[in-house]
Amino acid sequence: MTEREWQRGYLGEFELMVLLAVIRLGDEAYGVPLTRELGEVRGREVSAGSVYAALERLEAKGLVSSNLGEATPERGGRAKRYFRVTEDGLSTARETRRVLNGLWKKLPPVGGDLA
Amino acid sequence: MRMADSEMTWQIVLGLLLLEKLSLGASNEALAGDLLEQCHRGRSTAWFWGQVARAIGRSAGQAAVDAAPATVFALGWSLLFPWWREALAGWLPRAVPEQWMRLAWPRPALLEVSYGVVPTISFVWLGALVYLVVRRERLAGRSPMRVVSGLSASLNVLLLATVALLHHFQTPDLMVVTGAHFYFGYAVMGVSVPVAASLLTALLVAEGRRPRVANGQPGASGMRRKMARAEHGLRRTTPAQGLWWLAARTKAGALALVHICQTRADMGHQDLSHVPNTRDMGHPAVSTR
Repeated sequence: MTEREWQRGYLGEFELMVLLAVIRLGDEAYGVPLTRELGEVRGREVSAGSVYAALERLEAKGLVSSNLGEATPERGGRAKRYFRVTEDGLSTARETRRVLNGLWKKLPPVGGDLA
Repeated sequence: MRMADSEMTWQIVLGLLLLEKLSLGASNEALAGDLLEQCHRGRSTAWFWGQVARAIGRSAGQAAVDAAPATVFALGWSLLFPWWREALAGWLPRAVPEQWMRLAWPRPALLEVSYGVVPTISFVWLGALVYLVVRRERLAGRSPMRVVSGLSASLNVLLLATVALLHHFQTPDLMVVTGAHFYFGYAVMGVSVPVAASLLTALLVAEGRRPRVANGQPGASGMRRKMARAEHGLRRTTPAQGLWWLAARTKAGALALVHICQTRADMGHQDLSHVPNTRDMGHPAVSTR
């Protein structure tokens, strides 16, 4: 990945969490399970609007794609919007993990633990 | 407290309506469906309204960020307005033949209004065109009619401000519109609020809403469909139709302004029959009698 591609695909902390949740949920990645998954991992309530805002940024960067699913009566006839990670999204996630792992490993011990 | 079925109807309908109307995101429809689904699974009314409020707040914040460049430009450009007025002072009255002032009502009054409004709206429109040329990439893929719509909307704002200023100065006398300081009746730190608001309106309408999702991606959200319909309607309008529409709205706005003033005069403030002769008095300063 070139420097320019890296800059364009730069992920904020929350965007990275959302991207990983999309990867983990696979074919079931739409708003409700994504919000629940992120809330459980973070240990606090996550706003559905902020999840969609992050998803839209990821989609604009080409890291996820979306398609409309079924409309159910309990959703008032509104269709679910399913998200799926793209090849660019997968490579960006791998690259981010490689960089973060490298940085964590280089941290000096502080107080008997990593800083 | 959990949401009961009897409560859900009006509370959810109201919340979803606000969400879909006030939130600018491209996923409003899916978000609304998600919230509804979670309510059916036992989420409380308070949770629902919290989610709606946060989505609208986030959208408003994003809209403010998106509008920041246009706002800064509108404020900066408005600082040049006194120089523009000064440069045009005396030019417009000479450009209008004397005999026009002897025409029947309301034409003389319209001319009087034009002495004040034309230099102002031309300044606003020039600023809008400068901004849109500099940031022309923002108009990529948009109909040129958006620009005409923006110019038309800015005129509406300026005419409304003119009426408000006439009310502010407590006079139905159209002569005051020609005063060099008239549009500084509402001013903040040297910036004429009517001029800046008119220019900002032109820029925001011309740029329009932009979806945050990349073009060509699937997911036909309600917002995207609405935008596509609006763009389609604008594309079907020819430039000649657009200019005719702009001219017609300009005339209608000016006539409305004149008649509002006439109505105020008829209510006992002042007879406007002398208005055609006010040109002989030159460009008076605004009085606040």
